[in-house]
Amino acid sequence: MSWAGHRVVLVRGWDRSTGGAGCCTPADGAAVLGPPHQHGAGLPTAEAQRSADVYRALCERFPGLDVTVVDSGNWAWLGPAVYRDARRSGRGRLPSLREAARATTPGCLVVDGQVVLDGRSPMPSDAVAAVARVGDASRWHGTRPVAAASGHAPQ
Amino acid sequence: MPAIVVAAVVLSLFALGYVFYSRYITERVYGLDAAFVTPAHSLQDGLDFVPTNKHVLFGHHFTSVAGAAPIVGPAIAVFWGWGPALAWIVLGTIFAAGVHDSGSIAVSVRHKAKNIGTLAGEVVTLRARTLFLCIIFFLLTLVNAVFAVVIGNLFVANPGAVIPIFVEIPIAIAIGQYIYRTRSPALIPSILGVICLYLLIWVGALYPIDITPLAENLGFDRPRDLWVIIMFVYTFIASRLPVWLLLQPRDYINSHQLFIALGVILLGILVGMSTIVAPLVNEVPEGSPSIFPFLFITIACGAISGFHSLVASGTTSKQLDKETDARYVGYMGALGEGSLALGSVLAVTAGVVATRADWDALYADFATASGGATGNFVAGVAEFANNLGIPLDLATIFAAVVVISFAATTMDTGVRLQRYVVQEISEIAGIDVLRRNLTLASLVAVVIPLILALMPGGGEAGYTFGVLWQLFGTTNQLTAGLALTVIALWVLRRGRNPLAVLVPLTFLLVMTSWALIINLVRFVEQGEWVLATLDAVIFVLAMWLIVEAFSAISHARAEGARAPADAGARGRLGEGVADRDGRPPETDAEASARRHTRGGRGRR
Repeated sequence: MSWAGHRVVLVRGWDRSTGGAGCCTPADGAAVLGPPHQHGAGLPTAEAQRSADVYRALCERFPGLDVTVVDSGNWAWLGPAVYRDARRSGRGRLPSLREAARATTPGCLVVDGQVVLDGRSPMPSDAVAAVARVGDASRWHGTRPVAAASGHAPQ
Repeated sequence: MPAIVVAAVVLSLFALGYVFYSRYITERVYGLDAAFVTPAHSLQDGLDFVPTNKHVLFGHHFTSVAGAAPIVGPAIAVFWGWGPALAWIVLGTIFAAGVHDSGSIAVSVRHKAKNIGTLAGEVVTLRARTLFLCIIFFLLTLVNAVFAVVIGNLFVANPGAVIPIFVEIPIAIAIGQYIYRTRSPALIPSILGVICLYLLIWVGALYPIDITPLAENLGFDRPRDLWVIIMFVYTFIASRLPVWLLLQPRDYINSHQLFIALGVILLGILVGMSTIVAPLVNEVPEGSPSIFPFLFITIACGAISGFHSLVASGTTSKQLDKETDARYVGYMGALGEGSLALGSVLAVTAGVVATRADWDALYADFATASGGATGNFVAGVAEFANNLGIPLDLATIFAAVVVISFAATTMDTGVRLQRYVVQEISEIAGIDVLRRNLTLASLVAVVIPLILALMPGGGEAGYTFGVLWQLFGTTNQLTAGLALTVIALWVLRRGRNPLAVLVPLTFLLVMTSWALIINLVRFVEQGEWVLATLDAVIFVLAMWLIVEAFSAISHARAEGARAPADAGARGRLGEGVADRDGRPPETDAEASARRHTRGGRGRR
């Protein structure tokens, strides 16, 4: 099975944003002092670590799958991208908008414009299962996205 | 001159700069290679090192570098006329900032995404790491001092902004708690937060809070000073809170405000067809600071800012998917910052007043110009918002709220970073008590800029804001100089022509040193000993940087002369550090070959 042409978006947890909105002020101590283990600032929380585990599990289980990691604050990219993916998957305008808004949930997992897991950062096994479920349901193959392959939006 | 025409010309020049000069820089000077395995792939951990779509990464990068500083500098610098200010913004952005920002990402990517301070220690000399920490210490001190003064001035001039700004804090905390606890989508609550904030503008207009009587009763000569103290007490507390509790939700609200403010400025200019009333070149009064060198340190952010190298090498380089994306993310980020500076210039030359005579009164001398700069920007943006039908009094508070929100976030993160720097310097200096005690380190991070912001002297108005701002600009340019030195050495040792990096580096070092000398003489003559000492220390840092840069570049040239031009030239720059598994480093060419043989993007 090829995962080309499909996109999974993993939204960072609320406490692990990489963007800011002050001025020239990276909140991350690593920007000034180097890796966190050297000075103790910005060490990842357990939840951030789990999100990283999810990312690694997805990359390992689905080679070639485009897994994009985004801050929930990066709505300027997240909204249009998820909306576009949802529309491509055959969803209507309103449901697509709803998915785009839901995709700003910290720690959520979005597959081809569909939020498959929201709430706290999922366990890696749950994330892999959720992506596989969507893939199976829509019979991902070739380079065609979900709806193009299955003819209907995955539920 | 219609403001819209000026905006169109500047934006067109930025577009040309991106299309032509950024390509030259990234292809011919840096030799970026799309097939190079970036640290986001080779060190991929899903946490910090994550290959990221360039558009996503641009969003993270731009929101980390854009804010209040590119607004304040240009608003002061139009004192010399809008022509010189805009010329430096355009030339600086295209030929210096873009080179610096994309180069900082590139050099970091080629060194396992290490930050610019670590690279200074590895690429230049070990001493340069200490130099970097010293410069950053002064930079953060001055950032916190100047933004406290900015906020104090704005609160005094716009008492209607007090309620919205202070109620924004519990609103942000409530939003953060709601999202964190319920795991709800962040977009709608944050938009509601912005709406609440703007509704509070109306409440603020009805109930302005003027602390002048209280300040007088407490014995303050200037009400601003009381605000400065309140802001530092606030930042001391805020910087101890977890990031997700206050900083993160306020960042989210600010990200909406950034787009709203940019939209208001552009649409306001378009709808109102505002005209620039300020002179192209201003005949400044005798005794004023001269254009050379002071224009070039007054506008740092907006033309070139060393702080960007921290973001570029600290976080952005860890997420770069393809090395060639450094062009889009870094250079475009610099252009975005330049566009903010353009907006600031237009606000204080076309928006703020309707006639030349009124403008001349606002920019009568350098002290008046610098002290009133942020207020002028607020008044200008308010006028643009008024063009869109928003009542002027509410529009003024709106603009003040936007600037104060950004400045307060900057102070919050600035104090956070400063306490890390204080601890790091303490470790080098062997001061254990300061290294181990976070509260003590935070106190140092707060008290030093507080003293600087409250210092008496310099006449009835105290030290003019412009002087502090110039010192901030100088240290910011020194940080940029250090980053450019690292980039130039990297380019030189790869056997490429570093002229495009050396020209802005030399220009910055000459301008900053020149300004420091002039100011030092002036401070000594006026008996301003605190400022003279501060200036002297920064001057020593500048000289130190020049010596390190000259010595390292000469050494690299000598090495280049002994060895045949080797495009790879690896192993001398810290690029040859073994990877996590202890494997020996691979050369650029090897890495490139490995990527090609794998096909695809080389994701591991």
